[in-house]
Amino acid sequence: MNQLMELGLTHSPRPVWEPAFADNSWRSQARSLYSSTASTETIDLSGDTAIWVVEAAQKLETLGRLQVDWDSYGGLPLRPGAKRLTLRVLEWLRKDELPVPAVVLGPAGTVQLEWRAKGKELEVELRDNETIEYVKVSPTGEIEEGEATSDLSRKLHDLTNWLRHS
Amino acid sequence: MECEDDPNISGDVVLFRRIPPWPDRVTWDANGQPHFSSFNFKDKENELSVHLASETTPDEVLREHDGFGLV
Repeated sequence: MNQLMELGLTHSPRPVWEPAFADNSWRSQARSLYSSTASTETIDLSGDTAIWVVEAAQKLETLGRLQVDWDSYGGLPLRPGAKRLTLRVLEWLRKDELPVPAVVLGPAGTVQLEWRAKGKELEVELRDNETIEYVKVSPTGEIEEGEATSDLSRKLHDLTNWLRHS
Repeated sequence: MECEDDPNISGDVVLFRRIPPWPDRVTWDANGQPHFSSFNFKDKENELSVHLASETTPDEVLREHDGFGLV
């Protein structure tokens, strides 16, 4: 188990499906970045962790530096519970091939992961009370909203499977 | 306090909302079209603060908010 440390966010101009590194060097870089902190929040990068998971974790760390009123409308900092849940979600999905999601801090300190693929959109809000809310938008514009409070891993896989498959 | 609809504000009124300069608030698709995160349009009390365009200017809304954008 490797531990997550604070990382800087870099802009990536490449297409979302293209790997960040031409070879597996990203894995050794990520391991070194994730291995020297006393943080209790961890993410397992062993095995076949997808590259998007590393990038999403980097974005999450960047969000953790924002202070109260970061949005000029009184937005709250990242809630520890929301960060923990986000890391768990990344770990549940870490072997799935997905686009790099937008990782967005909400005004209440929660986190939203946002994907677009195959003409579909998927937004998943990760709260600090072990609850997720989601919005699915089909290519025809049909919207489906829902909430899950249990068996979150299975629900997340159901949602991302919907995103990935035609 | 429960909010009530103000009938004096019509549905086609132009509103301004600041967008903070943090990553992924706005993403761009392959066609160069912007996509705004829905989280740009929520406040922590499940309300939304906006400016009436008729009562201000973009420069005024963005004053002392370096790097912010406007929708």
